[in-house]
Amino acid sequence: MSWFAATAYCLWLSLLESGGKDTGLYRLPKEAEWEWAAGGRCDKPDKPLKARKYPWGDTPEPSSKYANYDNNEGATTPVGRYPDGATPEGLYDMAGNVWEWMENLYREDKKWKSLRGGSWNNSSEYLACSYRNYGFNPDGRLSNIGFRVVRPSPL
Amino acid sequence: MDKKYKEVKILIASPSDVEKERDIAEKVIGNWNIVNSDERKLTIEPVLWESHSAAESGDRTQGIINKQIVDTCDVAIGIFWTRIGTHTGIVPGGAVEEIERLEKNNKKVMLYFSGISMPRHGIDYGQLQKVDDFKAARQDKGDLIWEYNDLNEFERLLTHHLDIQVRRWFCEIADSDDFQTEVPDIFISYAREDYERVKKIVVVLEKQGWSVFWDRQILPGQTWDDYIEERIIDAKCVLVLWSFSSIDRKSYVREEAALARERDSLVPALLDDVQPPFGFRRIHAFDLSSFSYDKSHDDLSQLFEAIRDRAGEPKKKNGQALFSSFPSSFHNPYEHDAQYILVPGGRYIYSVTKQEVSVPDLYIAKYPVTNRQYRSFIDFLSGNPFEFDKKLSLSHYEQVLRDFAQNGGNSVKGLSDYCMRNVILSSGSGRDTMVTGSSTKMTSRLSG
Repeated sequence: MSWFAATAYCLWLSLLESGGKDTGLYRLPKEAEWEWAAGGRCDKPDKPLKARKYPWGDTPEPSSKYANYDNNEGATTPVGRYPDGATPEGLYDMAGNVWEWMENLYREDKKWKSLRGGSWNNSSEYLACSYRNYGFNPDGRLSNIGFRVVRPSPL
Repeated sequence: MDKKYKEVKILIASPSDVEKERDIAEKVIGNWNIVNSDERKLTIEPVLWESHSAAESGDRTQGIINKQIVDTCDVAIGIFWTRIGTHTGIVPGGAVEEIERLEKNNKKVMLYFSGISMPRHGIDYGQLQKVDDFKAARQDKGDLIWEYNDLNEFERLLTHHLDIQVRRWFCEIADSDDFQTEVPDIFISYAREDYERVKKIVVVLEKQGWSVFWDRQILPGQTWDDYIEERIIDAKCVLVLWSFSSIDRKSYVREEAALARERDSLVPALLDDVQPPFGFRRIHAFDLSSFSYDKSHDDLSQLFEAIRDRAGEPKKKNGQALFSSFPSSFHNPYEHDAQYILVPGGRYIYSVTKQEVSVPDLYIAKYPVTNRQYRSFIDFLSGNPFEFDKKLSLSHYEQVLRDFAQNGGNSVKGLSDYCMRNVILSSGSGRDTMVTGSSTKMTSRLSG
């Protein structure tokens, strides 16, 4: 699944729902949004927050109960297999399983698109909410890269 | 489930012809529990005839069912289509009796009427007439009832109502500073036909930081006229949106605009190229007929100015869309009902810049995209769309994709070449596993 194909999918969803009119209903997440979704905390509204270490919390450290990583399964797993690793809001597979394409470039002067979240064949350090992969060519495809869609506009 | 959670029982009261809606209602309630129960410390139990009434014989079947289940319920959701149900000797139809019994005990009621068409030969006109009578009686009483024209719409409405009403009815203490209990800065008066356009304006206003009351869908269980009147009187600013629909002589928008004019809170704007009704032409109406969610909103500065004169400076920080009046999750019918969850925005220290950043409210897919979902897209590209895809043609999609790729700025540079060249591809085996690049069994060519 290349970044281009993922982007084309989001555009398709937008056009389907809007009867061909609106291109912006769905898109890939930006890194800052993804990190917030994976690990943002909402309990202290007035203080600057950092993201949690992992989607499920600062502790415990990763194990095969929380995510698919480190070749524990040797392949991708069906979505939702790791309820203990979900965020409090109920997002599954944010850590492990597949790297997720981000909307933005890894660096402005590079053409790589960012990836987040670690994957089934990467080690546990990559599962952290703040871990940043170097990114990948937008036309590249790997068996450990997928994507997740966000909707920035209301219903 | 944790024993400390409060339990709310919702009776789904409906005759036998809306079985699909009953299933949907059960599903919607199940989803509400998944998403909200922990946070709200509350679980909802759907109460349906089949699952709750023990087989028991007696003088009047409905009477027994009433005693057994109806009395323990906190809310009734009534759903009607062409049938009113079985006559029980007190009122026509068991569902109606259940609803009225709950109402008598001061329980809350939400009523839905289906507008789905049915073959004429399948209709019992006597029953249909009774449904119409019941609906009319309810309307006369000033109840807000809701109508839907397909099952997706029913699901969307019910999800939305449930989300808001459960919070309002059963979570008062936890939500004392909730948006819904505040007096909104802006009340928007508009015709229901304009809903799609209005919601985009709402987002822009909420982004500025004003709280907006606009959602007429949230009102089952309230007495419509009184409630609206109160909201208009409370509002410091009433934005009236004139359109082909709302200038209609019979439109309630006129009445609401008159009340706002009286209170000097009226700010009119035009959604279409229309002239406001007589009596409203002296106040300058802002032209929103070319408004688009995608455009920048510099041209709205005058409208913001007029709103600010009445509603005051926005209280909340700029730059965040506030979806507080929207449901906390939804299912996308175009993706095999993939669920999206509302993740409220906020500010935090972003690990890349080490600076504080602000993230807007977003709906985020619960799971990465699966093979099964992506397959629909491949099918579409291959010219084998699903039923619902037919409102988007492949050629239109290709055209927009090309424009999007060429004009979409840096972030999609290269997409254009890519589209011309090939290949949006790949499908794996397990339907719930994610799409990745590992297997390329299916390819589809975007014609260039």
